[in-house]
Amino acid sequence: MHMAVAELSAITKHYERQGNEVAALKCVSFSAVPGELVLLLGPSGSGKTTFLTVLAGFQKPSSGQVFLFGKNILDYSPSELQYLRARHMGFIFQTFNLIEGITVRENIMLVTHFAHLGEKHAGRRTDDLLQKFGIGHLRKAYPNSLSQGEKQRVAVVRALVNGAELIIADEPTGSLSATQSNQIISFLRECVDQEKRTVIMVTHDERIKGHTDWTLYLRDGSLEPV
Amino acid sequence: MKTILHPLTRFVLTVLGIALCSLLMLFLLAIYRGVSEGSMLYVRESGADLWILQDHATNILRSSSLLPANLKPVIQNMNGIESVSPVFLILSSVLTSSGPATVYLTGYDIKTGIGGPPGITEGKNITEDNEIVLDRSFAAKYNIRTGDDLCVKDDTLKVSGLSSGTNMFVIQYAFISLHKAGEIAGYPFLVSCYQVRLKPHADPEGTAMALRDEISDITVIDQQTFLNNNKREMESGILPLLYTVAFIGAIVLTAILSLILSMHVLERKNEYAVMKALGAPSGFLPVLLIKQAMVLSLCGMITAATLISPLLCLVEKLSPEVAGETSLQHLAIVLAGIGIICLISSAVPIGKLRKIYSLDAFK
Repeated sequence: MHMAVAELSAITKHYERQGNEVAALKCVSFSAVPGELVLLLGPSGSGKTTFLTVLAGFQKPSSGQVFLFGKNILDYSPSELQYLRARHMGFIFQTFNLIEGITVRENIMLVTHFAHLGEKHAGRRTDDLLQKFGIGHLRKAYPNSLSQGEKQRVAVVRALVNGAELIIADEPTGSLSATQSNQIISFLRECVDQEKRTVIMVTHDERIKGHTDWTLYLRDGSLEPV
Repeated sequence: MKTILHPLTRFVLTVLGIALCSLLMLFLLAIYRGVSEGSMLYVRESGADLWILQDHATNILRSSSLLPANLKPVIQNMNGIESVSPVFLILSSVLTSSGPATVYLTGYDIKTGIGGPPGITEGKNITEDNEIVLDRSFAAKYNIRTGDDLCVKDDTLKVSGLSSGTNMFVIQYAFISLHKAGEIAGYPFLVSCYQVRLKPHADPEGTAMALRDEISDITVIDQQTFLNNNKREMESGILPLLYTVAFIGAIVLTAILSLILSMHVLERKNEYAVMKALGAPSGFLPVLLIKQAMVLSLCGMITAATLISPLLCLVEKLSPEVAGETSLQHLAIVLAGIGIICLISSAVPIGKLRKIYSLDAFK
């Protein structure tokens, strides 16, 4: 039995909205082990992004415990948590979130810089991944000159470049066509199968279901297996 | 770092704003040095070891001193004295083509030449009572050339030469014979001070004490103290103004930088949030901001350093009495000042950075 890479234990998250307390997550428990691609489906406003941000430690739950790599998130110091994100976690955002004003290669190398990976090694790895994803020719291009599909491939490379064991993807195919979407999911599936990484992905795109190891459905803050 | 270049127009405008503020500071320093040189050179180059003035007078810039003209032989006969030169300093009006203008008329002994102009840039020094040497910036301002006649009170004097190092910014020296100065002032039996040169190995302190014992109601000041006194007077007149303008310039620069960097942070709020989410160390973004401020300032400083010399030339052409001199030391001072301003102006945007959360990357 593998140790869980990410685990949520009886997580509840409340928000204050116009004086009323709204529950975004209601006693949610979850765990993911290495080599799993987990899909979290749910309609808009169901609490999917809250689920991911609580899991990654970007916000504290109202109650319950979060474990990352077997350790309670509260036991990590802020700098340990920062290093954990830079070195062992990768993030893919719905809107790609590439930094304008710096090149594709610089965008990717930013993460390796945060993770304190040697520049030479990181540079080689970046170039290899760019080639693998078919965007090697774009290494010196700026994000505003890329298509949506190219941007998302750069974002995926950025999430993979540090050798992250846990990849968190928030609606990674939300802005992509069906073909582009399939391509991205295939890339992630390959990472999971070949490198035993864990991918936790939230989306409302049900077409992806077939590519995942297991799928959960988040409805009104509660998890339901599909 | 490169993100500071986008958009390029704003980068250029910011650099120009910083360059203008730096230029202002460099210009003020240059003016200070110019005024300082103009005010001090006459005393520094006098070659005097001791200055004798009326009791309680401490300098020749902003204190009156009147002494009898017949003290020269008394001083000359004392032990350790090599030479004595009386100087008569009076504020006087001269008639120029643009109307009356005031000069600091300096009468000196034309036989010894002591107390005369520290340097002649054009023409020659005076040799006759009916000649005058004008400061070159004064001559340039009023379009006076060597050989021209100039009315000083009821006299007409010929401009024999132009001097340098005699521009005190608000007023300029003009040199005439001691005899003519007495005539113009209407007091031929008075002088302002005596410049005393000592024999080699003479004791300045002992000689000064002996002079005070021998002659009543005088003050005897050694060269270094006299220079310091004059410098203090000059600085008390101009430094408060320069400090005020420099302070305003520094505040404007701090505000510009602070505003630009804050705008930069707000516009790129999402990118900063993404960097935080991707694991940027806590010091990475503040250091990035400070580096950006430094790059902006350095670019502004280089622009200012390139422009200062042409600016000083232009100002001197338009207004000859406003003479400035810049130096590497000035550049270093302004660069250090700009560095401090950078750090101060980074404080506000760094505060804004703290309010950007990695969670914002998911919005």
